[in-house]
Parts: sequence; structure tokens; C-alpha cells
Amino acid sequence: MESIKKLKGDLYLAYRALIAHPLRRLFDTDERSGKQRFLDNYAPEGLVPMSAADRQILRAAARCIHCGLCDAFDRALSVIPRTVYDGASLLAISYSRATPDLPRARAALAELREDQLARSEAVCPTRVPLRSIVQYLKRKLDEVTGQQQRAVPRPIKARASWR
Amino acid sequence: MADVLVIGGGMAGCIAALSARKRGAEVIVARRSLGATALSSGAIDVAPDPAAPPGDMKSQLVSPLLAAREVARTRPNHPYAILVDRLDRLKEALSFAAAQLPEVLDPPMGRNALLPTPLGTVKPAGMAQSSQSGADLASLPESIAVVQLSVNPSYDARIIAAGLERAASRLGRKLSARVVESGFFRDIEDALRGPYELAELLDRPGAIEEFARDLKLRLPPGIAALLLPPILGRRGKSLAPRLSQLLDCPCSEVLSSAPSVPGMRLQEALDAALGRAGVSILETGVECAQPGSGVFNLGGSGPIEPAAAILATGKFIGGGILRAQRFSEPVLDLPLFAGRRRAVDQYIGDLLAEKVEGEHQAFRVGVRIDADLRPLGPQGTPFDPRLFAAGSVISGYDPAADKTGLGVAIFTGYLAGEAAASLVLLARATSG
Amino acid sequence: MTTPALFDVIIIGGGVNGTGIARDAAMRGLKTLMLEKKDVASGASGANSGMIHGGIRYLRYDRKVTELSCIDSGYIQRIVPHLLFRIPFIAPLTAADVDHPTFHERFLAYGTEVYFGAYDLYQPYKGGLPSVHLAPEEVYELEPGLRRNLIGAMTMDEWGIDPWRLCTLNAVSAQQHGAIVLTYTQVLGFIRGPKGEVEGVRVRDERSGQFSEYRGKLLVNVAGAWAPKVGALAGVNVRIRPGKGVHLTLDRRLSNYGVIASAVDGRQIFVMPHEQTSIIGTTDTEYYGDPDDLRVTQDEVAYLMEGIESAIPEIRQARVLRAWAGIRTTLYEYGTLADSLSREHAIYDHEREGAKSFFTLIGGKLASYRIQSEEMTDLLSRRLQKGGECRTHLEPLPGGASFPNTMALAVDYRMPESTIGRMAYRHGANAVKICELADARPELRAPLCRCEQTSYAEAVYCLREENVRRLSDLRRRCRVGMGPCQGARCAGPAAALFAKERDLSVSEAHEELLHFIGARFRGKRPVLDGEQMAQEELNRGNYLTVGNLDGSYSDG
Repeated sequence: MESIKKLKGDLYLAYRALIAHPLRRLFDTDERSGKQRFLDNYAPEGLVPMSAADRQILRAAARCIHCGLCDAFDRALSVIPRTVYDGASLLAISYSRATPDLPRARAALAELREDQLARSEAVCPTRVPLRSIVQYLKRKLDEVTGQQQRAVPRPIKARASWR
Repeated sequence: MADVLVIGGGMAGCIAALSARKRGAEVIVARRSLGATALSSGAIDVAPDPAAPPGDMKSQLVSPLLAAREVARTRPNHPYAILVDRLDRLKEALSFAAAQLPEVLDPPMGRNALLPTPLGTVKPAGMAQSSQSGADLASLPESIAVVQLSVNPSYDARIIAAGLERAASRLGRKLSARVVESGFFRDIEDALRGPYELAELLDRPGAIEEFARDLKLRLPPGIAALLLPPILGRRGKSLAPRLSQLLDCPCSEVLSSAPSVPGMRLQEALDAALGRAGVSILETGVECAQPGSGVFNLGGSGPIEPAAAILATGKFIGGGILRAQRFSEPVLDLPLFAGRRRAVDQYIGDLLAEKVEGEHQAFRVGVRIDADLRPLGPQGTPFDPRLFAAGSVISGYDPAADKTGLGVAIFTGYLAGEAAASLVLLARATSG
Repeated sequence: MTTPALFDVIIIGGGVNGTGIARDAAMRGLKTLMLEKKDVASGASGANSGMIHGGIRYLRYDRKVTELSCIDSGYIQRIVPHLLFRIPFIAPLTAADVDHPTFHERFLAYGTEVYFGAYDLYQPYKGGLPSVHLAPEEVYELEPGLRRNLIGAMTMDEWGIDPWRLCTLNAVSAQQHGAIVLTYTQVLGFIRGPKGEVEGVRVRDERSGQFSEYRGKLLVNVAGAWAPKVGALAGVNVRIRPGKGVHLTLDRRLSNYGVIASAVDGRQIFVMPHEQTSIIGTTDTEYYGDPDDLRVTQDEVAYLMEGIESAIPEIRQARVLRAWAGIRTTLYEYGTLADSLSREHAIYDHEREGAKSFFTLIGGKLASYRIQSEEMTDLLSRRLQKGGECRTHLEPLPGGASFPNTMALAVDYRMPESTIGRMAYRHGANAVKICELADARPELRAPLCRCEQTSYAEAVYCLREENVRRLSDLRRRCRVGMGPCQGARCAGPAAALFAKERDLSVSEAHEELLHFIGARFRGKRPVLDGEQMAQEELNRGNYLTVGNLDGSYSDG
């Protein structure tokens, strides 16, 4: 019983390997490259690739220990409302953790300027490069926003019940 | 031309610099960033009674100097133990620090104070800032109030008040602690402000007066002392004396965890003391291309070959000790120890206790020093006769477990500065 | 509401099966009681990879299972869409010499492509996207951290989920339909009738110490790794093969794509983005120790890191926050019901062992919880001749009906939009209720946990509405203390908030705080390294140096 089921499974896969899959590839009219298909699939949801340069920034941001010393010298706090921006420490400990959430940080980043964080960066015990992080966040936000505008709705194939 | 190079500018480094300067040396402090001192509560832990059972308040009211001797006796690798023959100078070192920082620190007390913490506990401290000393549980009056900022819930006066009453009964004294709300900060924006910002807002002209007016209306009669969140002014001398005057009631700050306004005051007071003493502060990291050569690179300022150097780079926060699958000391690659064993690449779990409140060898890792505060090299002898160490880069103590943090920083800094200055004077004498 | 003298169904276990069955039963009008000896999702349901996947590995021998898993994954999306996030995966196709791949290597590569292509047939049920074949250069452009030993890669996607929120929302939904949910309530024994039929339970509330009895017509054992112990209390033998699985959490997303790698023993492991972290997993070892005392060993951590390093050399530079473990309850033998939907789970009717009215549901996976719960509840409903059709795939979970406009909420209620964003992820439409709380009391706008963007308002909402009995429960509801700093700043204030809301004494508050930071420490212990050492020094500074919790805390 068991072995028959296994045989059927393998036969099905053999069918797919030898017949169904090659046919599918043969009749595939999609001219996009693999990378383009992949990006078209996922980038509109904020799932953009991370370059080696991005990774370097993220690794440096990961040094933050949430001590708050940077917030004590953050000049942006005197110009951006607190209900929008809550201090430089958030750049490392929160905003830079996930790109799909970046659009929510748009208002916070909009008025932020790197030079406002020079002193904050100087006092950081673990040398988190706050100014580079601001650059990275703005650049990545632009990238995600650009991709979002290409988003298409993805409906789920409906089945009222599995019975 | 600097005689003494101090690497690291927290409490240990600054006291070392001031100590060396006092004895006539030219001193440079090279500091890469702020560290644990700026994040500290701003009070000075000298030593608690190590034999006291947890929760026993009375036994913590010991003389910190006697307690330091007990620590030396029970912890053989602790700096107090290694320097036990000079523990009679601990008071001199503490007094020196207080004298250098008159705008923030009160002189050392004959006994530990029991100061209230944001968690609703109390902790022993050998020295405190003048804005904090009045909150000593052993000397608070019977009827006090704890101020709650109405839109800043992260500082919770209810638990502080309840905790004080509980600690008071443990201590065998009466205390009634009520909660009083301050409506001074009332905007939606204020709810999202951190402690540094709130403290700066109180520094503005007219602010503390308005704060006092608001509080006065809400204070019930009979309150003989007031405890406030640690935000009474960002700069230099706190606003506690002014507030006390306005309310005609002694006002003190509760201790602060990080981020800490009193910690920042302490660090800035140290910087001011350095300025007054003529010690330059360079905001740079220090590299040594050839450890043992005595030549250090100060970033853009170029190389320097001081007569003596003091390593006061801190522990993990300060970057004095690194761990990336193995422990290392980044400036001179000095060997590191956990107790008497070398700390290299052991599995970290072997250096940590099971419970968070246990004994963790991993947090006692540091350079081993001899009785003259010289770090030992790989052979077990001093790495360089011109090199000294101070503060939490030294092995054998864990500020969180043995509550001796800034006290060790001051003591070792003071002695290291003195030793460095002696070398300088010797060099000057012999060179004619 | 008064406690019924006789429940229709008593459910023992508050994981995803327990809460899922509680919801289904309550929605069908059955008088339901759910008992959990710790917090909801404390066992495997709270220590898994956090994925609602379609069972791709069943494609080979059990395609029906894959089809049903994908359909059910689609249902879960419909009932709680805010909680799911897409995770694209890259499955590297490797060769020892990339310029001269062996026949075996090419066979494997084509086989993977065919396999993923077959899975594509089911992806539409769960809104998944077609697999893509990538040439080596394309892979490196998308994922530069990969080792240069590829002849290509296949990609596909699955859905990630916060499993704690999933269980919590099921429990809350059950309560909204009249079920009673009791956490920290342990079953100590069963009440038996004259013929040995199981009629009820004797329980003890761990927090209050109180003993109680509850009677029910049918009782279901869904206690996961503890199912054998619970079964033994009823005199029945429930056998499982306990498989320990270890995961590591990194402090942030280093990539938006998951990567599948091979560990040293050939097992497939992965590193993947998950909410605002990355997760590395997992192991599978026999575990016969105490399920209440799971520890992660040095070997397990080394195994995972070495395995990922084989695909992504720079993984060692990542900041590992914590290591955690859970026990999978794999079946020891196949189920006794002939039409069992999959080989993975089984329902036992213990009548033939002399324990009438007592059932056990064992095994299964997070992704199939809804089908498993439906199957179990169908059986209960038939037996009771009460209750209608299952509707758990049609009714949204609390907050699942719509997704709020986060920018509008941020402007209207004057809170940072990133805070609203995380709130909306966790609570969906109910984020509005949390904002209204903040509106009424401005201090609730203050951030409690800044790493995870949890406001005081959200914490208060969870405390009031979501069955929080210990401070540690709060981390499962709204991630307090679960970010990179692991509670450095928020644990103390969270304890004070908890004390205020529950009117606790100071010593009770300290007990909760120590328990909370103790749990954080346990997770960190096996992986403490790099900046986490400086973080821990800071945390110890706050709680021990300043807070003096170890000096002050005593039972007296």
C-alpha cells in the first residue's frame, strides 16, 4: 500500500519532469529574465534586494544598544514634532530593521537631515553611523516607493470549502 | 608635548587625568565616544556589604570604606583585593573626585546611602550627586511625596512610592509616601519626549518657577520631602536646590537608569574639570601600531610617545573589551582574564550563570593588573612599565553584581594617575 | 457570565490546536472551556518558524495534503490578512565546480525546478506567486551574500505569521462567542463516571493557587508535548515522538528573501526574514527530557550557524539576539481514524481504552491548524449532535475584517505612523480601538517598547482584552522586550504598568520583572556575542547596578 503510493508519487513527478514541465517551458511566452520576474513578483510589496553596500550599513546599525546617548544631542528633535519623529536612536533600533515598514517612516525621514545628527554620531559608544543610516533609509524608501507604484492586486483563487 | 596619555574619557580616565595633572604632568585624554559613565545613575557605588542577605536593608548602611575591605577579603580577584594594601587611600580618592566635581557631587558619606530607584527598590551608594543625597531612605522624613509626571508614564511614581514604604519597613522605620501629579508637561508632544528633552525644557527661563507653581497647588499639607523624576535640569548644577527653595520643601531626584540625565551631568562635570585643570580632550580613538613600542596614533593628530599611558577604555559598552567569538582588547591586544583563567574563545555559555542574577565570569573579563596598576602581558609580568590601567577594563569585578562600579573607577583612576605622574617626574629628574 | 455547570467541550491545551478548536466549537454554539497550564502558545505553537506554508514537502507522496494545506493557507489569509507577510525563498542550486557541474548536480537542479513547478499549481490557493528560475549572476545580484558556488537557483514564496498573535486571536474569538478561556490553569486529574467515562477535570490555578473542578460532555487533549502526561492522568497511553527544534533570531532583516541551505548532515535549514527580524532554523533531535525545561545547547547553535555559513559566509557577523527551542509532537504511529487527512496529525478516540468521551489530537503543523481544528470539532459536534457547520474559514478573526489606513490614523490621533504600522500588523482593524484609548488618555501615546514600536496604549489594550496574567505574557501579545535591546528600557516600565493595571504589590511586581528579564536572559545565554555583550552590560546596568533587583528581591 505504502510502496504503491510512493510509486504513484514518483510516477507523477516523472510525468512532470519529462512531459508537463518541458511543455510548460516550451509554451512560456514570458520574455522577462528570471531576475525581472522575481522582482516583479516581490518588489512591489517592499521586498527589494539588499546590496552589499546596504548590508554594510545594516551591520553597522546592528551595533546599536539603545543607550539613548544620541538622542541627547539630536538636533532634529528641536525642529521635527515629537508625534512624527522620536529621536535618532530609532533610526538604528527600529526604522532600519525592515524595508517593508519603511513607508511608515516617511514623515519622520522627510525633514531629517544628516547634519542634524553629527554630534549624535560622535557620542555613540558603539559607533553607529547615524548619518549613513539616514542616507540609506532615504534611498531605500525611494526604492520601495518606486516599486510600490508598480503593485498589482493579487487575488486568492477562491474555494468556499475544501470538501 | 603630553607626558601622560589617558585612553578613554569616562570616570576612570578623567580622574586618572586629573590625578596626574595635580602632580604636575601634562595630560591628554583621547576619547572616542561617550560610555558607561554618561549612562550611569550619576551616583557612585563604592561598596555594599557583600555578606548581607538580599533584601536586608540595615546591613547596607555600612561605611563604604569598611565594606570595600570586606569585598577585598571575599573576592580575591577584585581590584580592591589586588590593591588591598592601598585601600586606606580609598577615602582620599573619593574626596579628590568630589572636590574636582563640586557642582554635582556631594563629599563622601560616612555610611552608604540607600537611594530610591525607578524600579521601586533602593540601592546603596557611597557618594551621590547633591540632587540625589536628600533621597536617602535612612534620613528621609516620615511624610514624603513622589511626583508623577502626568503624561510620562515610563517613570512610575506609584511603584517608587510603594517600594520606598516597603523598604522603609524593612529598615525598621516609618515612612508614608504619596503620589502627587505634576501637570507641567501636558501636551501630546510631551508624552513622547525623552528625559534629556524634558530636562532641557525645565532649564528654560521661568520653567522651574511654573513647575513649582503647578506642584504647589497639588501638594497635600504636611509633606516634608519631595522625590522627583531625574530630569531636574540638563546642565551642571541641577534645579533641585531652586525647586526646594520655591516649594519650601526639600526636593531630590530618584536615581536614573539609562538614558540618564544625572549620568550626563556627571560626564559633563568631568569634562569641565578637565578644562579647568588644563587637560586637553581629543575626540578620537587611539591605535597602537606596535604594542610595546610606547607609540600611539591619535587619529588625525599623529603619533605620540608619552612618558606614561593609562588604559581606561571601559568594558563592552566603552569598547575596551570586545567579544566576536573570542575576547580581545583592541588597543594593545593585552591578554584578558576571567578570574585567574585566560579568557579567549571559550563557549560563552560556560562563562555565564544560569540565572540573570547569578555570578557571570563573562562580565568580569578584563586585563589583569599588578599592585601598581600595571596590566600584565602574556608572560604574567607587566606588559610595559609605562602602561597603567584604570576602570572597568580591569578584570575581576562586575559593577552589576558587586555594586562597586564607579568607586573602582575613581580609586584605580586616582592611583593610576598618581603612578603615571611619578614616572613623568622621574623621567624629568633623570633627564636633568 | 456564569460558568456553566456542564460544558459541552473541555479543551486541554492552549496552543494553536487548542485555541483553534475552542474558536470553532464556540462559534458552533457549543459550551466551551479551554484550559492552558501556562500562557497561550507557550509550547510548540510559540516556538516554531512562524510560517503558514503549503506543505511543499508532501508534494512527492501526498499531493492531496499539499492541495489542502494551500487551500487552508488561503483561508487563514482571508480571516486574518493583517497578520501574514510574504516571504520569498531562494533555493540555491549548487555545484562543487560551477563551471563543470556533475550529472548528479544538474539532475538535482532540474529536479528542484520541476518540483517547484509542480508546487506552482497549488500556489494560487494561497495567493502565492509562480516559481522562478534564476541564473547564477541573477542570484548574486538579488542576494550578494551567497557563496559563489551556484549553477542557479529556484525561488518560490510562503507566508510568515506571528504565531503568538494567531493563538491569541483565536482564543479571543472563542471568548467572544461565549467560550471560557483559563490560562495558568493546570489539569491535575480527571473526574470519572461509574463506567470509567471521563466526565470532567480537576484543575489548579497556578497564580491564585485555587483548586476547581469542571465537568464536560466531551474532553479533548491537545496539550502537545504534554499530551502523554495528560493522557496518563486519564489512564490512556498517548505516544509521540518528541522532536526538539531550535531557532535563532537575528536583530533585523538582513535580506528580504529567505535562503535555504544544507547543514553539515545534509538536512535543509533556512535563514529568512520574519517581521522585523531574521530567523535561522531549525534542528530536529529526539528529546526525552522535561518539556518544561528546554535548553538550547552550544552544539545546536554551532550546527545552525555552520549550516547557514555554508551558503552565506558573512552570517557570523550578524547580531544574534536569542536562541529558542520547542518540541514538535510528531506522530509515533498513524491515526486510528481511517479518513485522517494527513499522515502528520491524528485523532484518537480513547473509548476503546476505557476512557469514553476523551479524545486526543496530536501532531500536525501550524499551517494546518484550522483544518485540524475543523476535523476535531466536526467529530465533537457529531458526537454531541449539536452545532452546525464550520465557519472558521469564513469569519474573520478579531481585527481581520479590514486593514486600517495607517497614515490617516497617525494624523488623526497624532502618533508616529511607524507605531501605528506595527499596531496595525498586530491588531488589524482593532488598531482604531487602541488609538481611541490613547485619545482618551494622552500619556498612553508614550512608547513603552521603542524597538518594537509598542505604545502604552497598545500594551494597556492587550492587558485588558487579551488574557494577560503574567508580565511575560505581554511579550507574546505586543512584543514588549522582544526587540534588539531585549527589554533594556522597557522591562521596568512594563512591570510598573502591569502592577498598576493589576493592582499588584511591589514584591509581586518585582517577581514579575525578574521572571521577565530571566526569560530574556535564558534566550541570550547560548548566543551572547558581539554587540549583544555591550547590550547585556547596559541591561544589567539598568536592572542590577541601578535597579538592584538582585539585592532587593527576596521572598520576605
